[in-house]
Amino acid sequence: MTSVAASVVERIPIDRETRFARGLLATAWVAALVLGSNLFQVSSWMVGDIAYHRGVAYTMQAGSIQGEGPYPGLLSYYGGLYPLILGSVAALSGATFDTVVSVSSWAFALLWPAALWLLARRVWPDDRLAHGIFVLLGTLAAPFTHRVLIWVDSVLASAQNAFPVYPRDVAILLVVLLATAALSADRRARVAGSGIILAGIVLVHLQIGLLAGWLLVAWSIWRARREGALGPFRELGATAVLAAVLSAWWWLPRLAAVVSTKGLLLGGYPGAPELRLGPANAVMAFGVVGLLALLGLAVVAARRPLPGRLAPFLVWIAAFVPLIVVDRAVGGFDLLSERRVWLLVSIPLTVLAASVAVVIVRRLSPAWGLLAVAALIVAPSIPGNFATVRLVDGAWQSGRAGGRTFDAARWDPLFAELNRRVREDRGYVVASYDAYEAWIWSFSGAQVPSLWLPGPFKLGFEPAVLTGTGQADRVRAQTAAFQAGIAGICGLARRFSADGIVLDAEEGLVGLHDISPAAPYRVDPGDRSEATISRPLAPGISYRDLGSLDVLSLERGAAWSPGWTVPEAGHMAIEIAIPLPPPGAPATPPPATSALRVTSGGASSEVGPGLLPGFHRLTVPLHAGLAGDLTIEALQPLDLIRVTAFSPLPGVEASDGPMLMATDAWCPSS
Amino acid sequence: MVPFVVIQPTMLPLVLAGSVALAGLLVLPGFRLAARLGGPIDRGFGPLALAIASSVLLLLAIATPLLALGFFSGLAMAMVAVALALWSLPPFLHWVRRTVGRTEGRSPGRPLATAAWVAALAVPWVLVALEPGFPPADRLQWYYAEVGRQLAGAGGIPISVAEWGREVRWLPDYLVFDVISNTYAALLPGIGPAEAISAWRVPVAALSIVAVYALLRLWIGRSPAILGTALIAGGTFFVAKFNAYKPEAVGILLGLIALWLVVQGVRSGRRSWLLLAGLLYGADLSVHAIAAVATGLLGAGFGGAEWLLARRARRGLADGLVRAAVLGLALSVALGVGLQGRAIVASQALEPALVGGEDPTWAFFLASTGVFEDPLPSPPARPLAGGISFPWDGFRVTSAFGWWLLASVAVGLFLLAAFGGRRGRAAVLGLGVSGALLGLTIAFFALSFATYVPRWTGLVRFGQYVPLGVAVGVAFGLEGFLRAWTRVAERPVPRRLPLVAAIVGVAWLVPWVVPRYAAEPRIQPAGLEALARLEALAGPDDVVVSNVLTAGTIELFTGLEDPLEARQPLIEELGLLRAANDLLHEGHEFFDGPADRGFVDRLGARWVVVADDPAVLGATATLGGSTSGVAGVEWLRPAWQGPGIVIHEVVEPASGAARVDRLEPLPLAGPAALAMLAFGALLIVLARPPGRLRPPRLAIPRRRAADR
Repeated sequence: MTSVAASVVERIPIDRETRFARGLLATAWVAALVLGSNLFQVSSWMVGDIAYHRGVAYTMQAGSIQGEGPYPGLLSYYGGLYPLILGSVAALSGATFDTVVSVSSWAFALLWPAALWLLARRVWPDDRLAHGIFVLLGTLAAPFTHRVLIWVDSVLASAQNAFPVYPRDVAILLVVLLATAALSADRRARVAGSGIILAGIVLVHLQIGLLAGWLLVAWSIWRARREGALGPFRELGATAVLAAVLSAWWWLPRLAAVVSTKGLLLGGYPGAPELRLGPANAVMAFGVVGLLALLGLAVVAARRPLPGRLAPFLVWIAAFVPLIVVDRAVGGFDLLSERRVWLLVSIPLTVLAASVAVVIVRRLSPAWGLLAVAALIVAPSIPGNFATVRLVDGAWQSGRAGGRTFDAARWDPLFAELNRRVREDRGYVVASYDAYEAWIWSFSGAQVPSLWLPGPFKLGFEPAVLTGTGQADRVRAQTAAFQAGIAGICGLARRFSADGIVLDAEEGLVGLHDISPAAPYRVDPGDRSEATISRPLAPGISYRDLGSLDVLSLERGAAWSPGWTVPEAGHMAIEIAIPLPPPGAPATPPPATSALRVTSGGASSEVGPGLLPGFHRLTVPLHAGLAGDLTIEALQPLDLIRVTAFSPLPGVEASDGPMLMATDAWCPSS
Repeated sequence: MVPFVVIQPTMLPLVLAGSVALAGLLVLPGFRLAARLGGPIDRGFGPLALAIASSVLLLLAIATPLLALGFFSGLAMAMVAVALALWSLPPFLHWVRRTVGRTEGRSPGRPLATAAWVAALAVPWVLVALEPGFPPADRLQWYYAEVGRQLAGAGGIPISVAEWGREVRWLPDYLVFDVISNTYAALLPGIGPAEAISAWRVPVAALSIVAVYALLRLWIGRSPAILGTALIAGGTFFVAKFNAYKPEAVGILLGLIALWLVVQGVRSGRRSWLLLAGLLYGADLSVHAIAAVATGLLGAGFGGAEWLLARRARRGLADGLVRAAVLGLALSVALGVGLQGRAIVASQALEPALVGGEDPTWAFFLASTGVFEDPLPSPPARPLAGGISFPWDGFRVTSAFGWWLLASVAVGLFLLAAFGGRRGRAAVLGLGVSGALLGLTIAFFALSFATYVPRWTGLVRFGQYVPLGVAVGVAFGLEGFLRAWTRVAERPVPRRLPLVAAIVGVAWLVPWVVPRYAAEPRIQPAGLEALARLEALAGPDDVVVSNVLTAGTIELFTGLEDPLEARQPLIEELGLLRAANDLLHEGHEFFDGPADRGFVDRLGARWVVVADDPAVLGATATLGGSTSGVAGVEWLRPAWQGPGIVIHEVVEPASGAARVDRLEPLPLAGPAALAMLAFGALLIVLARPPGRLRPPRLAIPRRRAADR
């Protein structure tokens, strides 16, 4: 299987073929740059997985090479080279993490086709046409869809080329380099190269590192069987030791943390469906790579040759497909998730597809060959890539995070100030509202006493063991503190050694009482399950964990009370969300009635008339403060997100927006 | 999973007899002519296609003078057809021997296996024909049968028929279909019209499946053709069009035959086949105009592609194609002028217009489906979305989860064009050109009209052919992948692949289609009993009205006049449309509160049938009202009562108000003779060769199919 069948007629003259191949490579690099930079996009306010990596990177800027989570002393479960390098560059350049990620993505975009080209030279040593086709296919290939399984959800390795660069993207690139090294004829390159690269993968993405290790194991077994010798196992052992040693600085502390905390807190959102590819979905997900690879597998099944050194890649496929069976059998296993396995399998599938495409192009006249590249590789990739570009374009908007809108003009300077203190003070802790703390940590690195853990934020290790206070205790302390006004807030700050306090100011008043109504009903991350994310609490009231935030869902007529008495409160802000109609339901005009009835001290007022579905912040003026009988009644089905009472803070002439106060300056030391 | 299907074993011989009668009628009478046209081609699908085309044209040729002179009857037609069939028996038996027999070293296994496979694919249509209640009852099949009955009753084109309480012209759009169906009915003496109708769909579906397979085989190998046939037969297009006694199904069958003749005519350079195809398209316009036009577009697309890629004799072929087209149109015009009362088929269907900004056709559509809201809901905004984008039930091809199919097909088509030689390129080009022509037709309806009819209906009716194109594309795409595999692997396709494809196709199709047919509405036992009682109670000229919006059911089962059982093609004339709308609204008001008997008396009705649930009579909507609502009306006397349905006799019905069909023939001898003479002259001119068509007979070399 190392050469083209002898009977294949090469219809393209060799000089034209070389020019053709160069053209394919050039096209691939241009496409890589365009797609990988998303036309030189610079994003700010990135959320999703980047939000967690950013927080860790900023804590690394405080001098912690391991990186910490949102709580002081909580070792980051991820860490590694991605946040370390990008965070260091950000610290050195003075740019934000998001800017560094954006610009790094442009450069990384060019590395991906380069890595593919190196692998292509290993698979088809003297076949430039094959190099060009493989690199182009591996860069451009996209799913046959415009909405699902694209961008970060894609199972195609070529999706790595989309903006921005994620740890997974770096790891996949390293897997390509690992395969290149492992297939080298030079034993030193095989052992040392593979060991170094495998360590790099572990330091960027442990899950892919383990799968890459399994690939080396499978290849060693295959080689040992073919050679009838144990040499490949010795090489594998040396590679493993080297990789383990080089990455020990990362995995040893985490192993220790796992041992001491007796487990990991990495569970994703329980309601999220697992990726399960059926035949039709597989064709959709793998696009033309899948079709051509199937053709290739059919050719191989007929014991007919294809150009290139394909045997290792068939072994790769054969070794990984059983992992999918295992994942399905155990009902979703994080270390072997089907999505990741398919992602890695897509590399040998692309090799196989390219091999078939090479034969097809060679069987045709030059004009038809060119047409084949356009029809089989370029044209089918356009819809998926175009959809990805559009998706990335609209993914992040300045000020949008966790389902709420921040005033970026006011928050960006505050985040910059907090980050400066993190770097200069080698760490900084602030107390703030439950609704803000996740984002304060993510955008500045300033750690917090407590927080809601939106989607990609995971604690990793049990904070009760590593920091002395568990998550549930932190949430309880946070909720209680903001029920008690400035005294409670100061108490919270003192208890968790907060250096500063971030509060909202409006119309000269400060938000001294605040609650996320769902917070008291949260469960510990380890207890989160499908049964806990949506559960009734009382007639008409239910708790709902939406992933990005949690809410109290109130049916029409249901009422909720924070239990405050704040006679000095000047006004109150209530954040709600009007639920979207179910998919496919006809759009209905907004109701003429108000959303809420607020009753306090015997007086009631209705607020929020005619609201459309989505997030709303309603302000309720209070002329006689808040009495103990404050109730908020839903006049239509809605989600209650947050309630804040604003009161005067003596000595503070606050301008509107978030304000940072030094704890020592505002809280008595006793 | 196949649901439990209730079948009536007593229907089995009827279905068998009906299948043999219709298949025989469509094949045998023209077989001798077909043998002559086929020349040395004396086995396989070629003689069958020629025979079907010849039979239909012969039946039409015989029926035309009979209709013009007022002597038309199913029995007369059947006698001539049987005589022609007997005369054609020797060449037919020769064809059977050549096709199935062990000749020239060929094993009979393959044709027999093909026949068995077609029979297996036809199982859903057999099952639905055996089910009680004549599903799908709430379709227009009863109306079509009634139109045919009126033709036979008059012995020619009827002077007028009664619809909407008025005398209107008889609907001439399905004339050739009516000729065939009356002949068919006469071949089945002693079998009731409803049973005959049920049996009809089996041979039509089976012959169409054969035609689809034969057509696919013109371009692709056996395995993809086998799978493609199953995919087409199980698609929304085929399942919907071949579920009942419909002119459109026959129109599609004849259109497919004509398409086969066009392609093979171009390939072989046989001008006679092209002319025969043209004539068949012309006759098909009087079977079902939409089916003829849609399949004609396929003929233009694929025929044009074959012509474009033909190496030699293109001038002669172009001449033949043009003559065929002219001949087909001329036949349609001659039939229209001579018998049908208009030169262009279904031309009135394009006439509706807004009246004062209101769309009377939309109002009619709503009222005729039981919607009497005020204000009326708006017409659909995106009429293309539903029926067109689902090639198979539940699979939407224009969604994030469905685009993969079109993309995969596109890749397959490229591979077919690249590796399929000229035949492969002709397939791809033909599909593309046909799709473009169909798209232009759809755009025409979308852009040219403002009313629901014909804008929405025309657009959707043509759009319903798009899933056929998708399924053909899938078959072609499979061939492309198979050819790519054979070229890359340098291996022939495994010999057992067609067998696997056949098993997979049947295993997919039968459980897929049977549940869809099992869910079709049917007439419930109480409804059948009510219809029988009504027939027994009523006199021949009685008029009946019902709150159930049936479509010809009452008229066909009882022979009585029901003014509300009329259909859409007749609503182009604004006055009739208004009258129909008014009548439907009057009916709605009457059944909602039947105090005033004006509605009943104006129609001269003697019988009022009221059902609580329209499903009792196999329908889906009513004008309103219920059995309890009419229970106490003093001028209505209950004559029979069943579960959920009551027959009332009107006390002292109004006399002289009833409108019934005038089943006497229109005197058409003059215009028909002139039209046919003109057509005959044109036929002689066009059939004469312009010079010798250049050989070779095969304009395109024999294909190198991947898995012949």
